[in-house]
Amino acid sequence: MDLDKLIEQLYNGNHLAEADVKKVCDMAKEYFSQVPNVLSIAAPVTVCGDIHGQFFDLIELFRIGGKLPNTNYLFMGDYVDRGYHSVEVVTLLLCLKLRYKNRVNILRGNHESRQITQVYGFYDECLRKYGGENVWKMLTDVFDYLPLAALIDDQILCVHGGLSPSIDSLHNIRALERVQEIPLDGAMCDLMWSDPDERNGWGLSPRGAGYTFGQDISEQFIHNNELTVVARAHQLVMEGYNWSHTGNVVTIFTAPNYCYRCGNKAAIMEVDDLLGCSFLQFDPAPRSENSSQAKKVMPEYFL
Amino acid sequence: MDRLLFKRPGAPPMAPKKPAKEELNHIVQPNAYFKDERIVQVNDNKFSIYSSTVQKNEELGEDHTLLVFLHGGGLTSMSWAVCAQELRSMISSRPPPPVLHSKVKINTGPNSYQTVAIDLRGHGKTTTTDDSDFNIDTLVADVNGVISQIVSSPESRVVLIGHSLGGCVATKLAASKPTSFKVTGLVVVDVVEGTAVLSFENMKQVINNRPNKFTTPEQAIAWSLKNGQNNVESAQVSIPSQLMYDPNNQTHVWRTNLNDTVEHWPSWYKGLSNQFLSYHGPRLLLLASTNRLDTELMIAQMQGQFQMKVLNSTGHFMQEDEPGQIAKVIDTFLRTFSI
Amino acid sequence: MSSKGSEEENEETLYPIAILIDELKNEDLQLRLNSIKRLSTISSALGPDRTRTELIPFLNESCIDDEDEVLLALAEELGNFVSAVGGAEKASCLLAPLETLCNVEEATVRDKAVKSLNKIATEMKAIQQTDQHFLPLVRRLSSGDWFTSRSSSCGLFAVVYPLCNNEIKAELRQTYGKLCTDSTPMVRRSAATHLGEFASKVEKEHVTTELINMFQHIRDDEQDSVRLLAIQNCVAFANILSAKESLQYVFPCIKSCSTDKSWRVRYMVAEHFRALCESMGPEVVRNELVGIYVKLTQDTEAEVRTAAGVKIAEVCSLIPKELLIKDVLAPIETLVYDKSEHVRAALASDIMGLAPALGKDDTIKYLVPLFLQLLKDEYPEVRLNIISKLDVVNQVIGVDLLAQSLLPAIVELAEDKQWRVRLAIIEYIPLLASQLGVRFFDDKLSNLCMTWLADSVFSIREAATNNLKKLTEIFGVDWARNNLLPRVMAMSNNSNYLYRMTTLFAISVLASVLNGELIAEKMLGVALNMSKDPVPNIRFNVAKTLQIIIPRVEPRIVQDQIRPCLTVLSQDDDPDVKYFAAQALHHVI
Repeated sequence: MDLDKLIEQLYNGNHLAEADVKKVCDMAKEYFSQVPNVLSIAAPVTVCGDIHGQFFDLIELFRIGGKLPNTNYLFMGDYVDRGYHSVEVVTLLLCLKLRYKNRVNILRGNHESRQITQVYGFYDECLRKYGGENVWKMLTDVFDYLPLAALIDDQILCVHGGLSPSIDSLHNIRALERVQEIPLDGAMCDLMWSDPDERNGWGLSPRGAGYTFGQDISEQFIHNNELTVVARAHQLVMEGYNWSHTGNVVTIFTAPNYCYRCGNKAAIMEVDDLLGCSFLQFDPAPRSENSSQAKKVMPEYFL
Repeated sequence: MDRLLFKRPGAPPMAPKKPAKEELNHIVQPNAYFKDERIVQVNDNKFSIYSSTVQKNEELGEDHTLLVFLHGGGLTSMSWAVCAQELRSMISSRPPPPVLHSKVKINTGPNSYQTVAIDLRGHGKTTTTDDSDFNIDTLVADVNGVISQIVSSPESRVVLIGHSLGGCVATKLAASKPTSFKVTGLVVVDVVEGTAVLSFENMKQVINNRPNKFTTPEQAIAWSLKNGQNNVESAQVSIPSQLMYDPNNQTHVWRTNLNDTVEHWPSWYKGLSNQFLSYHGPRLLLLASTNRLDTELMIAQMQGQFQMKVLNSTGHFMQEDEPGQIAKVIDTFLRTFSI
Repeated sequence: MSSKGSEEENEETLYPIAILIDELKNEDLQLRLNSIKRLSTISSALGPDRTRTELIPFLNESCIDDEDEVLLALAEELGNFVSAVGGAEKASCLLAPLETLCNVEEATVRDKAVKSLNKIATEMKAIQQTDQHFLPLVRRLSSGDWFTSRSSSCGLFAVVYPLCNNEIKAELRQTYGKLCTDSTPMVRRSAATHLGEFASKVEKEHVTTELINMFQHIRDDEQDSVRLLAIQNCVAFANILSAKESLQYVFPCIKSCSTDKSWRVRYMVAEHFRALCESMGPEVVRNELVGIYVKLTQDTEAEVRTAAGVKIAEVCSLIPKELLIKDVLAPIETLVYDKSEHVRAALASDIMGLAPALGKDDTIKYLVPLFLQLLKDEYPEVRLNIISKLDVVNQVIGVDLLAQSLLPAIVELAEDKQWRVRLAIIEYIPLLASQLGVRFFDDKLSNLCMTWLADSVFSIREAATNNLKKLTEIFGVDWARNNLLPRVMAMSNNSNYLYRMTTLFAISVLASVLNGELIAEKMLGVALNMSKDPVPNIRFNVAKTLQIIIPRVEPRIVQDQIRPCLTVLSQDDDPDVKYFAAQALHHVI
C-alpha cells in the first residue's frame, strides 16, 4: 500500500476510501499488537494533547511544530469526537504512524472507545461520510490495540488521563491486559479518565469515571518510579498547557477554540535533546471549520 | 421485473410504531406508582406530594436519603412516576456496592431512600394563593419549604432531581445552600441556559401549536403519542394529570396555563450554568443531545467538573421516553458517589 | 428456449435495478438517498416508456412524503430527466411530481423544484403548446391555498411569460402584481426575489407602468425582509430603464433604502453599492450616490460600516479623484479609528486599492498616514490585511518611499506575536532588500532575518530559510560568504535539534545559488560533522542534504568525503537514517 499517497490525500483534506481505511486498519492492528503497553521513547519529541476531530488545527500544529518525519511527535489520545473531521484526523495519524514508525507515536484516550464515540459524534460522522458503520467498527477495533502510556528517556511519563489507585509502578501498567474496550473502572479506565486535583489523596472523580489524585499521590508516584514529570491531556486548559502539583504534572490540550467555541489556546510541548520542556501555543487555523461550519444550535423546547 | 416493485411498502418508511388502539383507552392512576399521596402546607399554599420508600436489600440502617423529583413546565409529578418506580426497583435489587480501591476514602452510602415528587406551584393538584406566580425565586422557595417540612433534621440528605423547569428549580435550590437539609447530589435533566435562551421563540410556537382542549383524556394521550411522546405507559400516567375538566364546556383543558409562564422564562434560565457549577456536590447532567451544551458548561465538562450522560434516543421528555434507562443512570450516579 | 434465455438475461441485468428500487423504499434514509441519486441509472435500465409509465408515477406517489433530504435530491434529479422520459415531447409527465414538490414546507426543496421546472421549460420551449402544460401549472400554483405553492409560482413567470399571447401576458402581469402584495410575507419575499428576472422578460411599456408599481410596493413593504430585496431590483430595473427613467423611478428607492429604519436594508445598499453605481451611470454616481455611500460608512450599525468598508476601492474607482479627496477621504479616516475591529479589518483589506485611484503624490499625502495607523492596530487581522496588500501601494509610490515611511512599522511587526503577521513581513523582505540595497539591509534588516531563523514556529524558520536564497541572489555570493554563512553555520551547535536542523535546510537551499567551491569550503564540513549527531532526525537530514549537494560539487569530493559519510549512515541503527542514506547513495555515481 502506498502510504505516502494516502497521507497526501489526507493532507489535502479528503477522507480515504473505505477499502483504504480497511487496509490501514489491518496494518495498524498487526503493528500495535506487537507494541508494549508502555512505549519507550527517546527525546527529543514534541508532545501533543487532545485533537478531537479538529483536522485543520492538526495541520496548523504541523506548521507550528514542524513536519514529519523531521519533527518527532507523541500524541496522547482523544483524536476523535466533537470536531467535524474525526475520520480524517485519526486516519491521518494512523497513516503517519505506519509510515514513520520511529518518528511518531500515538496513545489511547478515553474517546478512543466504542461507547463514547457513539454519543459524541465520531460514529455519526462515519455514518455520514461512508453511509454505514463499517469504518467506525474498523477504527474502534484498532483503538483497542493502542498503547496506554509512553515513557520519554525513562523520566517523563505520558498518559491521556492520569494515575490510578491500582497502579503503584510502571510494571503494573505493563502487566495490564490492554486489548479491549475501555472498562468502566479499574486501572486501565483510570489511566484514561483520572484528573489531578488540588486536594491531597485519592478522590471520586466528578466525571463519574476514574479518580482525582492530589499532589501527595503524584509526588510519591514520581519518586517511586524515578520520574521527573507526568505529562497528560484530557482536560481543557485555557492557555493550552498548565503545570500543576508544583511541577509534577503538566496538562497539554491541543484543540484550539475547542468545539469551535470555547475560546482556548492550544499548546504543544517540545521536549528537547536534554529533556528541557518548552511550550508553543497556537490559535485556530484561519478559515478553518470554526465559523462557517459551526453547527447552529437548533431551537428546542426546554420547559 | 414485476410491477409489484413499485407498490408502496406496508408502512411509510419512517413511520413511528403506533400502539394498538385499545391500549390507548387506558388511564393509569397515580397510586399505581407512589404509595402515598398527601398535601404539605407551606404558609397558605397546599402542595401535592407523592412518595414511596425503598430499602436496599441489605440490613436496615438509620441512614436515609430523600430523592426529590421536580417536573418540567406544564407537567406534574406524574412525569416522574414511571422512572421513579423503575429506580426504586433497581435500588431494591442492587448488586453489592462497587469495589472501590482501598486507598480511596469514601462515606458509606445511605441504607434507604425515599422518593418524593412534588407538584410545583400552578401545576398538578397543588393549590396556592397565586397560581400564576411563576417567578423562579417563588418556585425555589416553595420547594425549599416543602422539603424542609418532610425532612427530620438539618443533617438530612437530599438529592435533587429536576427535569427542565424542575432542573432550574433544583439547580437554584442546590446553589442557594439551604439550611434545613443537606443537598448531597444534583441531577439536572435536559436543560441548559445557553440553548434554552436561544429557544424562547420556538418554545412560544410549540405552546401555541398545542390544542387547547380535548373531549376526553384519552384523546389527549393519543395526541401526545402522535406528537413526539413515544412511551405509552408514561403518556397514560403523565398526560391525564396535566389536564382538568371544564364542566361548562364539557372539555378537558390544560391545568397549567403555559402562556402565563412566558414572562418568567428569563428568570428561570438566567445564570443557570453558573449556578450549576457553583454547587460543589456530585452533579449529573442528562441531555438528549450533545449539541445542548453552552460554552460555559462545555468548558467545565471538558475540565471534568461534572458527570454528563447523553441519551440520543430520547426527546426532551427523557424520563418519560426512556424511564428505565434514566433510572439506571441515576442509580449508577447514586451508587458511584454513595449518596 | 431462446426467448427464455433472453428473459433470464433481462432479469439478470435488471436485478441491480430491482435492488435500487427496493432501496427507494428502505427504512434507512441514507439508502433511499443513494438510490434517488442514482435514478438516472434506474431509468436508463427501464427505458423511457417504463420510466414514464411506472417510475415517475411511483415517485409521485411514494416519495413525496419522505424526508426533506430525499425530496431535495429528487427535485434535483427530476430536472435532469427530460431525456430519460423520452425527450422534450414527453417531458410534461415530469411536471406533476415537481408540482407536488413545489408545495412542500421545506424551502430548499421548493427552490430546487422551481429550478428544475425552469430547466425543463427551457428544454421544452422548442415544442409546440408548451404553454398549455406550464400555464395551468402556474395558474394552480399562484392561486394555491397554502403559501408554499404561491411562493413557488413566482419563480416560474419569467420562463412562461414569453411563451404566451398578449391576453395571457396581461393576466400573468396582473397575477404577479397580486403576489407582490400577498398576505404572507414569504410569498412577497419570493415575488420580490424574482421580480427583476420577470421584468427582463416583460415588454418595456409594461415595465414602466405596471411593474414599477410592484417594485414600489416591495420598497414600501412593512417587512424589512421584503424591503431589503428591493435593492437587487433597483439594479435590475436600472439596467432595463433609460437613465432618465432610472433617476425618476429607481433612485428614490435607493435613497429611501439607504436611510431605512432596518439596518438589514441599509446593509443591502452597501453590499450592492458597486452594482448600483454601475447601473445608474456616472452622472448619478457623482451627484447623488457618493453622498449616500459616505453616509453608509458612518452608519450606526457596525455591519453596515463593514459592508461599506470592504467595498471602498471598487466604489472609489467609479468616483472622480477630486470628489474622492473632497468628500470620501474624511469618512474613511473615521473608519480607521472605528470602534469595531471588524470594520477596521474590512477597511484594511481594501483601503490599499485606493492607491491607484489617487496616484503617487496623493497616496503619500493622504493614504500612508492611514496605513501607518492601521499597521499599529491592536487587532492582528487588521495589521495582516494591510501587510498582505503592500504590493499594490508599492506599485504606486515605489518601494523607496514605501520603505521610508513604513519601515519602522515593519520592523516592529517583525516581532509580532502572531506568527502569520511575521510570515507576511518575511515574504516582503526580498523586495525591500532589492530596493534598499545592501548597506541599508545589513544595517536595518539582517538581524531580523537571523532572528527568524531561530523562531519558535517552524513555518517562520522555513520561510526565513527560503529567504536566504533570494537574498543571496540579490546581494551576491561574496556577501553570502561573509555575512550569511558564518551565522547560519553557527546554528549547527544549537542545543535544540529543531534549530540545528535549520542549518541543514539552509545548506540545501543555498546549494542551488552558491558555487561548488564555496559549498565544499564552507558548508560541506558542517554537514559532515552533523552526521555524528545523537539525534537521528539530524542524521537523516544530513543524508537528505548531502543528496542535494552531490551534483553541485566535484566528483572527487563526492567520492572522498560524501560517499564514506553516507556509507556509515546507511548502517545506522535508525531505519529512517538508513533509508535516506541509501536514497542519497543512489546519487553517488
